[in-house]
Amino acid sequence: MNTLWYLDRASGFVLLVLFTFSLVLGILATRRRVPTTWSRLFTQELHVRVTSAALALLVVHVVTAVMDSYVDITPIDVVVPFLGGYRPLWLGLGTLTLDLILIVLLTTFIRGRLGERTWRVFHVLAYAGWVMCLLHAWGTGTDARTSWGLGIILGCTLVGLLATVARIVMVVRGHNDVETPTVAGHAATKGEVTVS
Amino acid sequence: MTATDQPFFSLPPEQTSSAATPAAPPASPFAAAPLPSVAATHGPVLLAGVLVQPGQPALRSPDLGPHRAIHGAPLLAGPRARRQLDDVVAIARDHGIRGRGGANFPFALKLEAVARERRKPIVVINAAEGEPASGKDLVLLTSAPHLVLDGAVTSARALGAQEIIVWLHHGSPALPSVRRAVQERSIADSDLTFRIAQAPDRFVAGQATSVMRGLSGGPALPYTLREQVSSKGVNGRPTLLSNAETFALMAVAVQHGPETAGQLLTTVMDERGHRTVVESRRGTMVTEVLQAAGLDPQGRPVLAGGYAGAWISADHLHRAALDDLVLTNPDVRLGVGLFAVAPVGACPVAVTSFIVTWLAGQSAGQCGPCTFGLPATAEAFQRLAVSCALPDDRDRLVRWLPMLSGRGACAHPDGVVGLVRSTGEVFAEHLWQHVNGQACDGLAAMPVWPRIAQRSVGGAAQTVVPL
Amino acid sequence: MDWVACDGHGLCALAAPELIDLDDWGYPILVPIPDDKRSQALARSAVEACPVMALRLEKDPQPARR
Repeated sequence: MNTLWYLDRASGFVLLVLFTFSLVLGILATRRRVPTTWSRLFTQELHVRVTSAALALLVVHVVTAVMDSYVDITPIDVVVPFLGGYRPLWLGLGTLTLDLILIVLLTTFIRGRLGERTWRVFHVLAYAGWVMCLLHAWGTGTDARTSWGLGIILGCTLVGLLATVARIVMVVRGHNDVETPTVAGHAATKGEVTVS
Repeated sequence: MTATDQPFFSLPPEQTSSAATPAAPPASPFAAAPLPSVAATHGPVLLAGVLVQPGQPALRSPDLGPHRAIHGAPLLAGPRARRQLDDVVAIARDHGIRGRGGANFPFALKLEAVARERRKPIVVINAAEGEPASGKDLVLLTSAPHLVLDGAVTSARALGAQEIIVWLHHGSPALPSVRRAVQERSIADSDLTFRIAQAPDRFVAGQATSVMRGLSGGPALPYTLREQVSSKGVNGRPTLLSNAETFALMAVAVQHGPETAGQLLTTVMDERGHRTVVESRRGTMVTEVLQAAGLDPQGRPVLAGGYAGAWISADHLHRAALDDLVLTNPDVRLGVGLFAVAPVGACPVAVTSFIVTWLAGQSAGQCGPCTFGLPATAEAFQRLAVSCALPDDRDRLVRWLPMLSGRGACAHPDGVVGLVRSTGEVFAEHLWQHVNGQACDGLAAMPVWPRIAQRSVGGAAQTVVPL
Repeated sequence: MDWVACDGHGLCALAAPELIDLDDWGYPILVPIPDDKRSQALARSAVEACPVMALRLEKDPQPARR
């Protein structure tokens, strides 16, 4: 049943590209200063759609991996890492990717209940998920040894790293904050109210 | 009263109908002004003993004993007070006691709202008189703190609350007096816990949501309320929050009976920044109140309701009576009960620009329209004040004013809007002169009001202008 | 509308331009939403578009602060 195996591997590579794309879009969506002709809403919606497509493909990737008889991957290995019979370490990373992505997905669904700050903390796990995905592709991917496979992996690594570094710089430098005029007396300080 | 205490309260041996409390040295940059004088058109009840009428007993000190001699004790005391909630609410309703915040919310309804909740409530006395020119809470808290506490104790017992917190600014001149009173009270009413919370020196720290946030561990800044303070206030507990004067009125209503209904305090400030706190009754003519403070508003601009209030025309002033909604013009409201009289020939546009500049600086910086809109309005108005307005300044202001009202977590910008609008309505001609670039010599006659313009003490008077 | 959370991103106005206008400083001017389906749908997308979740769709809001 080689079809399943090939489907598994192919979907894996596409997933890497899609997740990288989603990461970049997610970072782009946080930028305030965009050219007037570009809509931030568009970026945000594209991020959601690309991620949804990736998730759909992820289902295919996981199902084919379990169903295929060439490698010994059980349903439990889908969510619990490092137990699998086939390359347990690298497969485990794939499992971790799934776990992390599931957490991000669920927290986004109940975003309203969690509140903005809590949601954001969980959403940051997406970065970790992407790194796991990258390592999983590198370690498990049978095609990772080919020139095109390596090309894709390296390309995605580069793009994703650049985007992440840019995001970190943006946050640290505060480029994204709104410039408020200096108003006296509004700087809230910790413990500014004392009760005795 | 121990001999080592600084007397914050003392009376000259001979009494006149206008007893003056001595000026205390400025305790903090926030309140550099001396304590206000006191006067009354009716009563005095709130100021009984502080302002001494011939033949009436004087309050020897603000301590508990002398206080009891004049005001008696809260009738509702002890464990059975909870059943008397209905009585308290009825008294509050019959006396028409209302809050002094923007909404003038009936105190009786507040009590009922808190009583409906199941969790144990907490009582908070809002004594942060953020309005720099208002002095009524200061006078109450330094001269009759136990009256305020009586009202809080009555309410607390009726609601089954066990904690009373007094919310004050850091370095408030009322702090020593409140501390002392709270100490006495902790012994006298040992079943209740009394605490004093000190908030930063901000205008918006007296806003209801700021108080809630500050007491719940956050900063003393406003936030958007999802539920009423009465159901979810301090740390999510039902909270009875009201102004110090409102609690004092509650005490007076319980302890003195129905003939005291309708008393209220207003502050009258002259052009030198000297303030008189006048006790009157609702419905008193404003001119009578000004007279009691010794002020004649003839030919002078008068600001009503606070810095974030509105100018009031001379005609309006003469027809106006003290009430919750002072007058027919919706921008002019009783507010904190301030009447500030500027000198003859003062330029109202200049005074407004100073006030607006200060108010803009007091923005919490949380909501866009206030953080950006108020400084922009202040700048445009400053240009107007020196008759150097840019061509589209007027259009900008006209466009911005509606944008600044009703938006944001609190009504701070609305106050600015009301003030600016009233400048246009009451002093339309004068404002046009400024818009057209004509010089105005009113800039020479500026009032010396707290936070707006300061003079160095002694020597040649230097006015520091925050332009 | 949670004014403290609102940071003037302006995505709500992009999602529902017929319902929401931005003031001179980039902050939304909210109005009561008409009952028809299209407006309700637009309002919902505006609520979802906000990156800091400052908007909520409410049936009968207290008109005090928009």
